[in-house]
Amino acid sequence: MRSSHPAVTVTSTLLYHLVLLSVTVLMLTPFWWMTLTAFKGPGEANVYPPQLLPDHLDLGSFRQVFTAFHFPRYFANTILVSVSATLGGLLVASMAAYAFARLRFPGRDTIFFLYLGTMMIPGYVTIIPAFLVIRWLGMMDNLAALVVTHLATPFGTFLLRQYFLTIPMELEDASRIDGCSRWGFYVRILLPLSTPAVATLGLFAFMGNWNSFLWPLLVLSSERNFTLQIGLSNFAMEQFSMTNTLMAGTFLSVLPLMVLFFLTQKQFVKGIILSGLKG
Amino acid sequence: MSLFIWDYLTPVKPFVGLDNYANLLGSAEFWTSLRTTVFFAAGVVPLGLLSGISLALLVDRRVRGIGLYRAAFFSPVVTSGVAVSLIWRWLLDTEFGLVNYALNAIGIPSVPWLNDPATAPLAIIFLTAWHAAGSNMVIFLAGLQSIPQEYYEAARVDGAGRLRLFFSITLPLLRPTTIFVLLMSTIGALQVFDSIYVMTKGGPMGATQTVVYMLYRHAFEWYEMGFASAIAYVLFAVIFVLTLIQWRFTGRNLEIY
Repeated sequence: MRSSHPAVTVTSTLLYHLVLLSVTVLMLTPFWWMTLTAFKGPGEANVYPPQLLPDHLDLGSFRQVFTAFHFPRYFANTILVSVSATLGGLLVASMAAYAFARLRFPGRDTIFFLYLGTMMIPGYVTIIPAFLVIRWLGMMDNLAALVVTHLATPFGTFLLRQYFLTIPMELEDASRIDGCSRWGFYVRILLPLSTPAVATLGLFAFMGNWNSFLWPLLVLSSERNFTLQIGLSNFAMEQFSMTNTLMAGTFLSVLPLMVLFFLTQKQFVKGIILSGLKG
Repeated sequence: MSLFIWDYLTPVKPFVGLDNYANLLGSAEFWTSLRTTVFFAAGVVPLGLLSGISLALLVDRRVRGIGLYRAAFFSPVVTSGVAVSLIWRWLLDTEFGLVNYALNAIGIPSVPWLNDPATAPLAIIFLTAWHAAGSNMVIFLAGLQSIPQEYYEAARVDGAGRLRLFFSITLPLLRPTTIFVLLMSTIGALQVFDSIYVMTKGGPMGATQTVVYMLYRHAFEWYEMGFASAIAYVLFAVIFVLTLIQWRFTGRNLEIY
């Protein structure tokens, strides 16, 4: 870390904090405004001049989120999809990584590089064929379609493979001598050892699935299958003036990830640096 | 599973050869969308780079509570594109939005942000940059912290001032990081979708229709899958070439310290 300048003064520190605070205000105002709007009663949003500081906290909008907005259903769907896709994805990625790192079969490395190569293909190129396949499989409007299509993660497999390669063969050999099967080694030794990498991947997979929009938009058509993002977008389009309720719904949909983020900051930062992807 | 599935849908039933491409390249809609897309990237990428570096510089201190500030700056990244768009749509509301209220407070008349073809793209550019600033910051922070302190100390001994340190040491050593962020930002900026769908639907009057959004409409609103596939491939080619250009243009300056 940079050491402090020898001639640091009280004023310069104060100035620094002032700058930090103003930037924070700029960055966080949208969230504060959303929260404020969410805690106003329904219908109180459309006033001018806008009320900057609350004189009372009204939970009416949140009540509407549960009645008019069907939040519980969307939330359940989203949780179901996100958890399944994340766990499934981790399973697939780690098993594939193990295969690519440890097993020996013809064409192994070629397949691996091809698999990685698919990372270069942007999402929108495959989205039309994927859509047609899902339709052909009769899985339209099915939450399973959201999970299944996100099980294969080349980046995850790549990362885990690199990680697995650093774990010495002796460990596996020793466990085999003690009568452990390949699967046993995988479950009881390899996975626990790889917890940091797996956790980071899982975090990002979860976030990606929670926030995913385009794919659910294409696949889901009946309202009872909507995920949170689709539900929000739909609600915003249909109920044009229920701003408070919309903000309350948005607030609730953002909250879980925010909490998760604050609890696991280190992992997030590591993940960003590893992948360089914007979530 | 869905990774290896790419059908060559271009000559969709019936087989029309390269007609889809011909129609595409001849359509005004495509070129307008492309121009809009490039305009978005040209706005988002520099803004993202600047804000990323600035934020990183700002939080690269061992000050009490700095972790909180870093978390605060990063939090927009965790929010979904839909949530970000809805919040900003509300902020930019012409009548009741906070932004216009703040402008009015300093004497500037209200701007119809999302309803004016001239300002709608700017709004999207700004909120996309806002959304991504945090992750850029994290990457730049990592880059900043990988610069050995000895360089700064040696330069200070030679009498270099703050500004000189920044321009002669920090910036050059951040070049690989900057290039990385530049490449990733460009690729991301050219594929913005969620905000456009939620906020403007490509309007007003097509002012915010990007190529990806055009693809969406042709594929999933009009079911012209063949045509849309052509769009996909052309866009892919464009992004590929652009990335290659950026890579060539900046790659030769990469040095490993």
